Amino acid sequence: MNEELLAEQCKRRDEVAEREVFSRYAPMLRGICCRYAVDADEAEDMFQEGFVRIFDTIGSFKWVGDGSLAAWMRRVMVNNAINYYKKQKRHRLTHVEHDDETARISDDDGEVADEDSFGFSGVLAAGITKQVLLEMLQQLPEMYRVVFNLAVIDGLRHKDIASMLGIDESSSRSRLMRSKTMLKASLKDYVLQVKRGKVPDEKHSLSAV
Amino acid sequence: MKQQEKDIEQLFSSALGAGFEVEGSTTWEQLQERRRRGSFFRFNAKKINIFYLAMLSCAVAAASLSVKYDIFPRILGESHPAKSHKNVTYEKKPSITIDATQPVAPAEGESHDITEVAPAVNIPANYSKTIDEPVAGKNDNVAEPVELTTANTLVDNMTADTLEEEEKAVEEFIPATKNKVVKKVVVVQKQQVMVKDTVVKVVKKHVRQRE
Repeated sequence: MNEELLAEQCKRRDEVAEREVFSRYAPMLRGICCRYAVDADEAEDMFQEGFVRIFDTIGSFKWVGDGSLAAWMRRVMVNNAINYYKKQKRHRLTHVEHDDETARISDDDGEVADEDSFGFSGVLAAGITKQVLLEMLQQLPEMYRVVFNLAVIDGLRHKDIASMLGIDESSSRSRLMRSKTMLKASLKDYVLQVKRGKVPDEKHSLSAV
Repeated sequence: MKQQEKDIEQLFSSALGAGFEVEGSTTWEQLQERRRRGSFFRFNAKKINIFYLAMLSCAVAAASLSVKYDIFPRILGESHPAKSHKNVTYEKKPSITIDATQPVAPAEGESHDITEVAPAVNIPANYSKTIDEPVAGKNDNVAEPVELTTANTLVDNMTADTLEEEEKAVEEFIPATKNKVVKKVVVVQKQQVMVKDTVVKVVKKHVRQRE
């Protein structure tokens, strides 16, 4: 069954088609949720909420070519993740963002740059897996993780990110820089541990395909 | 430095980008259950369910209770329409009738020695017209004339702030009026007795003169 037919049948609330959509796209959409969530439980909750939203709003989907259904579903899932983040933001206390954040980031960058032991080649040599990268991403504070996901992985511009999150563009940029710095530090630690012969603990792991 | 950043971006986007898939625990049945739950709590006029019927009945009950017990005017600090300032009129005017033909018992503490049977004296029914003018010298403890005003005239002139105050005023007024009326009746009875005595004496005097 091709995408167009699948979408049409889903619009008619055909359960067989819906089940087909679920089984075909669930792993990919769950991957998005894992990137935005802090752990596996939250990712599952976000995933269910997002899929319910997909089925509720599939009437507004217009098929424009191959891959358009998958792209539309990804977009819905990302929007749902942002909404989820906004809802959770009220209940969670994250790091306080200061105005002089950029200045501190510059200092951190300097520290990392001075270390010769860390480099991209070192990371690749350490044989880092998707699962490890996901865990590093999940360890980021929420406001940095969301901006990093939107900017780096989902490819949104800072202007769009700022409007989606209700923040300034400069805040979006500074958050991205901060998140990269933190990830760099995590990668450095990982490489050092691998070099010392210690394999990092893989708790809370998700089975990355 | 810039290259490092780009490398990190590339690393994460290639690893966790479009091709990143994760197997999870959510099954199709769990998703359907969640959809059902979501649609149950979501308002849909075409699908009125028990939840919304219960909500509706609760709203109706709350509205009826608020109307019955004046909850909203109290909350909003508004005066109840029934408690607004207005004169209260009473349709039924209380009337007091005194039957002058009834035998009159002597008042307590007084004795009337009547040795002879006097002829019956008919006191006219309108005798009460004169009771406001007691017999001079005969009755010193006559009460002041009672103004037999009805409750209606009093209440008509009364503009109490609230109905409760008006009702209270009426409740206080009625026993007071009752007491006054009872006193008046006693006075009338005494006067009747005195008139009888006077008549008996006059008759006796005439009888003696004839003899």
